[in-house]
Order: sequence, then C-alpha cells, then structure tokens
Amino acid sequence: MKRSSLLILILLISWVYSYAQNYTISGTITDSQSGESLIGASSFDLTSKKGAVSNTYGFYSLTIPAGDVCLQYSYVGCMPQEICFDLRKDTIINVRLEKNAVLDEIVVVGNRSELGVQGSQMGAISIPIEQIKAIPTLFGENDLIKALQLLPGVQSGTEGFTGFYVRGGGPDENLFLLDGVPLYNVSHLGGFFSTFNTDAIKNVTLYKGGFPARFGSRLSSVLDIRMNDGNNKKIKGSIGIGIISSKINLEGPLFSEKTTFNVSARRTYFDILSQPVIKYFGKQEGFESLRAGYYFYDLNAKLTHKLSDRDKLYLSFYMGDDVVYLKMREKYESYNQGENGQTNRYESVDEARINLNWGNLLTVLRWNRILSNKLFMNTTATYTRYRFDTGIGNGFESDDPEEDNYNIDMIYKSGIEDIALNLDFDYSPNPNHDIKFGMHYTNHRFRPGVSVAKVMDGPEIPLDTVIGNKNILAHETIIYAEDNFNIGPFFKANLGLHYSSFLVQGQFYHSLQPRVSARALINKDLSFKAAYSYMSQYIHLLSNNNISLPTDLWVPVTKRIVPMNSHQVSAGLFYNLKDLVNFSVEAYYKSMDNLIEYKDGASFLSVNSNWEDKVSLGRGWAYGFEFLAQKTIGKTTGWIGYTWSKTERLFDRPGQELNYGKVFPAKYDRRHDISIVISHKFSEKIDMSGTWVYSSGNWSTLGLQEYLGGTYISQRNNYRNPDYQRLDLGVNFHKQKKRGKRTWNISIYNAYNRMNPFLIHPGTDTVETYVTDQYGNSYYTYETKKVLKQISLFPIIPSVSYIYSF
Amino acid sequence: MKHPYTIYILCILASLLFSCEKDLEFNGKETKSLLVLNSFVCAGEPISVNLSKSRFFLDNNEDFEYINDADIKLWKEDEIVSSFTFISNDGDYLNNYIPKEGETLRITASSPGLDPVEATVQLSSPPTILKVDTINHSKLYYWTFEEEYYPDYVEGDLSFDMTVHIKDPRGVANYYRIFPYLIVTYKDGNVFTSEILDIDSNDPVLSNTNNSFFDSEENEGYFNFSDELFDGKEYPLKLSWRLWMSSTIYHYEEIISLEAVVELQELSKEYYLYEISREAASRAEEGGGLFSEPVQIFSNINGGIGIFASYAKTTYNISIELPEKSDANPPIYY
Repeated sequence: MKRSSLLILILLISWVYSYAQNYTISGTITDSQSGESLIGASSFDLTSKKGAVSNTYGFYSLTIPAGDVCLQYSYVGCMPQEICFDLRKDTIINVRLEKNAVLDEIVVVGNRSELGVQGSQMGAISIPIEQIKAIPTLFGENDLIKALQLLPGVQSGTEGFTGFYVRGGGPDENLFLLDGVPLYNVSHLGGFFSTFNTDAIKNVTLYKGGFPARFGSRLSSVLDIRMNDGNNKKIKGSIGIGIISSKINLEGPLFSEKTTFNVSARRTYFDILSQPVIKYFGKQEGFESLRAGYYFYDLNAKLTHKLSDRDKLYLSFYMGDDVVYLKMREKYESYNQGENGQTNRYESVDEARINLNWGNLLTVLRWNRILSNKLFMNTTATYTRYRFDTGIGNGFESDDPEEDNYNIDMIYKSGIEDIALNLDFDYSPNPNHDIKFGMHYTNHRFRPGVSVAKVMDGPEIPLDTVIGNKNILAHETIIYAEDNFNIGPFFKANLGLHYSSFLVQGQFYHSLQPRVSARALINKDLSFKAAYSYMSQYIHLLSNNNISLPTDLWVPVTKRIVPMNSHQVSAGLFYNLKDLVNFSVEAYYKSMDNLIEYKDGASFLSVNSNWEDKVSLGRGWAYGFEFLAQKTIGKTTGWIGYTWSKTERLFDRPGQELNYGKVFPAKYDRRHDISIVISHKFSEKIDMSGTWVYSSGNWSTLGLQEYLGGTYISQRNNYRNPDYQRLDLGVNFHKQKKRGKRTWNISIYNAYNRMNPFLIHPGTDTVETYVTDQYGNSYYTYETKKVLKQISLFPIIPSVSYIYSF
Repeated sequence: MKHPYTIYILCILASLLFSCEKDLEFNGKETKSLLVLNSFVCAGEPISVNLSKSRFFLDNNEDFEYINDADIKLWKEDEIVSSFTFISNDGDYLNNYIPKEGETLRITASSPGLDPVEATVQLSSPPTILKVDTINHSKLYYWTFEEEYYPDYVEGDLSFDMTVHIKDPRGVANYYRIFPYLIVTYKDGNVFTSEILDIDSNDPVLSNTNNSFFDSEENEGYFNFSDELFDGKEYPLKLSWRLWMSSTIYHYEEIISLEAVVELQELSKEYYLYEISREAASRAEEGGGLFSEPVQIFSNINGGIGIFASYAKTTYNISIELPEKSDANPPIYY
C-alpha cells in the first residue's frame, strides 16, 4: 500500500514538474479590418510543434514550454502572422489577421483547423460565407441551405426546396443552430427559400457525423451558424435589390470600438407590387376593396459589447415571418317599402378575411468570460419560438333593422416555444488537451394546435370558444464533457459523453451517449479518421414528405411515441494537397430506431390530438461513402462532391406494419449524387461561378396494376423517378464607386433548361385525329390515352440583382 | 418605366407557367398482368371465388377481364379437397365443400398466360354476444286507411342506442365487424332486409378505427375494429343508429313485424387488414391523394392480387314493437 502511494506521488510530481516550465499564451484572434472574431483560426508554435485552434468566440489558449517560441497565426483567407519571442511567463496576445480574399497560393499556410487533416473531427464541413454568396441560385437569392445541399451526404429532397436530408436521415433530424440556439423553421414560401440571410452570417459548419459531445438532440446533423458581431472600426453596409426581395445590411461601432452592432433585413415585395393589379381586378369584380398578398421577411440583429478584456456581452435577435393575407369587402344597397309607403335605402357590407402568419423569433443573451488564461466560460440565456397562426373571418353589417349583423373569426394557433439556459466551458490545461464541458436546460412549450372561435352575434356579448389541445410542457436537460487530446505526435482523439433527459407529461426519458472521434496521422498531409456517435432525439416533426407546409408541427415524444436514436460509425481518409486542396473520402453506416412515418392513407391535414394514431414506429439504416475535394483559397475555389448511398426503412412492429412489414427504400434514397461548384475571380471587376448537380431520382409510390376494386401497390416507394440534373451559372460585375462598390449579378438557374421531376403521376392525354370517312365527311375523333406524367417546377430562370456595398 | 410591377408580375407568372407537365416514358419492370382472386369464406357455407385479371396502369383498355377458364383447387393439409366449378361469365366459381370452424384451407388458381396464385386462410369461429341492451328513441306511426287499395303502413324514425356485450377470447388478436340491420315481415309472408347506413358511436374502440380527416363522420353502415383495447374481456360496445322507414318503400303490403338485428362478425386478420386498407384507400382517393400517404390495399394472394379471407357471424335479434294503428292524418315530414 505504502509502495503504491509512493509511486502515485512520484508520478504526480513528475507530471507537475513536466509542466512546471510551461507557460500559457492566450488571447483572441480577430479580423483586422472588421474586428470580427475568427472561428477555428490556428495558433501554432513552430518550435514545439504544438498548436491550438480558436473557439467560436475567437479565444485560444496554448500552453507550451518556456524559452524561444515562434507562433504562427493563420486563418483561411487571411495573411498568416508570425510572432517570435522568449516565453518567460503567461502571456496574452490578441492577434489581428489581415484579410486577403485572394491570396497568392504560395503564401498560404496549411489548414490546421479541426476539420482538416490535422484535426480529430470528421464528417464536418465548413464553407466560407463568401463562397456561399457566390453560388448562383434560384431568382438570384443567396441561400445557405441550398448551398449546403450541394455537399456530399446532403440530399435536397424535392427540387427547388430547402429540404435537408443528411446521410439517410429525415428532415426533422437536423439541428439548426443560429448563434447556438435551435431554429425550428428554416424555410420561407413553402420551402423555396431558407430563413438565413447570408449578409448576417459569419461562419457555417455542418456536422454529418462524428458529433462532438457538446451537440445533441437530433440524429442526423448539426448546422452551426454564427452571426456577424459587427465591424468595430467603421460603419459598413450593403443594399441589395433582387427580383424576389431586397435587403439591407448595416454594421459598425456604436459609440466606441467596444460596442458593435450588426443589422440585416430582407423583405419580399411581390405583394406590394401586385397590389394595384389586385385592386384593379377587385374593382372589376365589384368589390369595394380587395387586398391580398404574400410576403416574407427576416430581421437579424446583433449587439456586442466588450465589458473588459475578459468579458464580452452579446445580444442576438432574429425574427422572420411568412404572411399570407386576403381581405375582401363588398358593399351593396337594398331597398324596401316603408310603412308609410316611402322607399327605404339600406347599406350592407360583407367582409371576408384570411390571415396566415408563421415564423420564428429568437433572442439570445450571451456573456463570455475568460476566467483564466486556460478557462473560458460562456453563459447563454435564450428564447426561441416558432408559431403558425391562421385566422379566417367573416362579417356582415347592415343598417337594415331586419338584417342580423354578425362577425365570426376562427383562429388556429400552433407552435413551439423554448426558454433555455446554457453554461459552457472551454478548458485548455496543456497543448495536449482541449476540454469542453457544460450543461443546458431547455423548457419546451408545445402548442399542438388550438382553435379559437370568436363570435360576435349582433350587439350581444361576444362569445369566445377555445377548442383543442392544451399546451404541453417538457423539460430537457443536457450535460456533456469532451476532451480533444493528443496521444503522441500521430494520434489525436476526441472522447466525449453526452447525457440528456426529457420529462414530458410524467414520462421521463434519458440517455447516455458516448462520442468518439479519432485521427491517426499517416504523414503531415494524410490522415485516417474514424468516429462513432450515439444520438437521441425527443421531438418529432409531423410533416408532409414532399413540401414544407406551415402546418408542419413539432411534437414531443409521448408514452407511445418513444425517443428516436441512432448509432453512426464512420471512417475516412483525409489528404491535404500543398495546402491548397483538401480531399476526403468517408464511409459511414448509420442505424436509426423509433423513426416515425405516416401510416398508409394518413392525412397531413388532420394534425390533432390523435396524431399518435396516424404514425407508425420503425427503424431505418443508411450507408454509403462520400468523396469531397474542396478548395477554399486562391482565385479558383469550389468543390467536387460525390456520394454513393443507400437508405432503407423497416416498419414491422405488430399493428404498425408498413409495406407488409417488409423493407422499403426511403423516399430520398438516391444512389448517386454528384455536385461540382466552381467560382473563379478573373479580375477585381469580374468573377464567375457555376454549379452542376446530378443525382439519381427520388422514389415515388405508384399503383402499377389496376384491378376490380382497387389499385395494386407492390411496395412503398416502388418507382424511381428520372435522374435529376441542373446547371446554374452566375457572373458578378463589380465596380468601385466613389463611396463604395456596386455589383451587378446575373444568374441563370437551370441553364440548359432540364425538366427535372417535381412530381410524377398517372394521367391522360387526349389524341385528336382528323379523319375522312368513306362518304367524304371529315371530322375529328378524340381518343384518351393513359400516360405517366411528370410535373416540373423550374425551367431556365434568369435573374438579375444589384448590390451596393459601402 | 410606366408600369414596372406589370412587367415584374408577367415575368414571374411566365416562369411559373412555363414550368410544365410532360409525358414520361415508363421505365419500370412491373408491367405484367396478375391474377386477381377474391374469396370470403364462412364456416358452414359453400365457398365462392371471383377471378379476374389486373391491367397495367398505362393500359388503355377501360374494362377488366374476368377469368373464365381457370383451374381452381381447394386444399387441406396438402391434399386436394375439391375443385371449383365455373358458374358465370363474371369470373364466378363455386365449390361444394362445406368448410368447418378452425380449418386451414389453401386455394390455388391458374389460368393460361398468367402466373399461378395461391393463398391460405384459417377459418374463423363465431364471436360471442352475451346480450344487447337497447334504448329505443323511435317515433313510429302505424297508419290505417279506410280505402281498400291503401294498405295499413308503418312510417317514422327508428332510432336506437345499443350496448352490445361482447366476450373476447384471451391472448389472441381478434378482429370484428359489427353492423345492425332491419328485418321487415309483411302480411303476405314476404320478408325484406334493410341496411342501416346511419350508425354512429363514440366508443373508444370504434372511434380508434377512423383515421380520416375529410369524412370522419361518415361510415358505411358497419364498423371494423380489433380487440386491442379489450383483449380477453367482456366489453360493452356502444353504438347508435337511425333509419327513416316507410313500410311501403319495400313492399306494398301491410307490415306485421319489425326486427332489429345486430350482426357481429369475427374476421380473419387478412379480412380485417384488407377492409381497413380498402377504406383508407377510398378516403385517400376522396381527398385527392395530395395530402395523404398512398395506400397499399392488403393482399394475401401469393403471385397475384386479392384476398382469401374468412369470417364467422353471430346475430342477436331484437323485436321492435309496432305502434297502435291510427286513422289520424299522417304528419308531414321534411
């Protein structure tokens, strides 16, 4: 006993001694022009060959041996900076890196971020926001989600929509984090546009596998989106005018460098421009007034205040809504004979109203504190809400005493509301360990659908009736810890544990989820990585498979509908070619349990208390491999991605069988998926970009045989739609003006006018034939012919937009 | 520009209108017609079968073809029990074998040019109705006329609340169908049976069976349900029904007795799955199919399509007292 204690003491002393001569260099890495903190920037000591990467708030901490050190700070798109000195004490170095969008390829320093060859993270991709902005899109609207759909492992679902299907997962299995806060609805206009205004975004990272322990709550992906803090040097901004919408972005210091703001707003104006036409048609139809329209808007705002060198305060706000409205007012006159024989004239007004309003609201209050040069704390209080409100009303008012006046309004409300408190820590005790730990608590309030009837019958007291479900409260708690550590010069691993619990209606679910991600460095440019993740999810989205409807409803797990979970293993090779191009090949296998699917014939329009009866629980699996070659620096940037994948489902639980309890392919099971994205800067005045995508078609369910009494469907998803392919092109013309820069963007969506399938269905064609009979009479004959029809949404669509930046 | 919005709207509309529908060449494999066999077997009754042929969904022929030249055999424990005899040009066949409760029967059918089919079913046993409690809300009138050529007739609203006490066997999944009907007996000996379409229930066992949004209030005069919520128990199943009746609708003769009958059928699992999937398909079609999942109508015919299922029935008769005859003027109903 004494011996072992002595041994432990010696080991402890030697451990402490081994680090006794070490000092910590810490600080923040920012962009010199804007003052924006740089996420994932590298600080690397060329002497000890030790390095660290800045966290989400630009903070880094590097503990290295005392003596001569030569630190190299680098970030993609920035000039590297070297600082050499004699390290004799703990030192704070705040670094400002010079931005240079197009670097000479020679001076670029290797990507040492966690996502590349050197890091332990796999299954994750980060795309520079400038590259996302350069990708040509539908109607010229920059779209983050649609850009990410071009990455391997991500399927877009239906053409033109912002569907997001990652590695065989469903659309509700993705965690969209805006400044660390979940956003529930990420699309506008039924899914044609995403809610993220690219002007407000600083950094985007998509995790498809190998999830670090700090993330959870969804099975298939995490999309971590960070908003710009705001330029702390000068007021900057841009104004963009496009076919669909216009937007404005303004950022800069507020009073001093310590406080910055960033505000971005976007609104469509189809409704405003179409009002005169609608008014005209209203008059033609005899309405006194007719107003109708649709618009969506986004408002992003962020305030950042530096309280001290150690404390920073952030206030983020996002609000986005889709609004559909219709108001018809009809006025008419009526006459009747009075008791004294006189003619009375009366006026009546009939009014109909429809109002649909759905969207997100998100508020984040965050406090960063550098507790010590090794410990960073992040405290966050958040409020997020998704709501869908429908109002349909009808009123009648007349001064004729014999007429009954009334006013009826039916309101349907549903949504989800979260209040959360998060506490996260980054701890870097030495260069070999980067520890993250924390806890999150979320109070969910689900509103599965409440109808309110407001009836005003004449002058009587109004009668309000509430029909439907009460709010459902749920408590979700997360505790996590992860350590990203080196084992010698060649091995690096990220080990983590994520514990989550969910309490809803007396039902308590919890799970302990191990996460492992490891890297073996074969040489400085080539590494092998492997990862395992176990994930649990406690909420489901009741949704149409095809399109994103505002009626899509988030519901919690229940006693019958248990949490979904998944196991994912992945492995891959990562190669860095001369610090210019990153290659990766990843293979994965993912099994998913307790997935939900609508039962045969279940209607999406009937989302009410018995939704549990409409769904079946089952399992699924997905496997495949992904290839990605990505170039993010130089005059030519972009990527080539290829995915081979297979995704299947099995719903064979007694009473919940789908497809006779046999295996069937998932709707978005696509065998091949290729995407090529290229941007090239010809000069300061002109740059061009193009994307080409090709993928196997989605599955459809067709009744291929008809018989007396019905249509025979041999299998769910039994017919493969035609392949999908599309070429988009875009060109930007820049010109330096007196007070800023103007950019004309011309885009062509679907440049070779490929008619891609949106929907296929059986239909009929009528064949007209001109015949002449034996008597010389000529006439037409009509024959109906059954055919398979394809509906395509988007032909070639050119668009133009104008941006003025100052 | 004088009217920028007009140009703008035209551009948007043009792009949407050009997005189009086109004919697509079918590139699948499942184009061959299949044999369709339908047969519902009841213990104690001869077995009839209907055979037809499916058609590829792009086949322009509007008619379905009945199979009148098939070789159909009934099997029991790998031995042929008997063959079916062709009885009509509508693809009907009959067998003289009388099946018994609990028997497992296999059917095979083949026809030139089509793949042979086969299916198996176990015959159901009759369910148990312990008793039926009723509350009669009917308002019936029995009119008598002095003129000879007018028969005395019954007219009015038949309305009943019923509690049907079912005894369910423990440990096995049972599937049922319940439906009331009316038996009307006339003075000249004629007997007519009337379906009752207007039946309703708030019973959780029955309300659980309807997944429809569009027509949740409608039914087809019966309810299919399972014993999921009352396995192995005695269950008081509640339902109510209404029927507007006029004895002269069926037969121009004086009525002498009225009976309400509750028929409870025990369905084989195949029958139940077939029924609920068929109903779901019908509802999905009514709703346009756009907002609902496609429905696979259940089939247990290997190599073909259709259903080979069994049922057994139990009935419970309730005599309905006829009102006193009256020669007062009949009320006017709307």
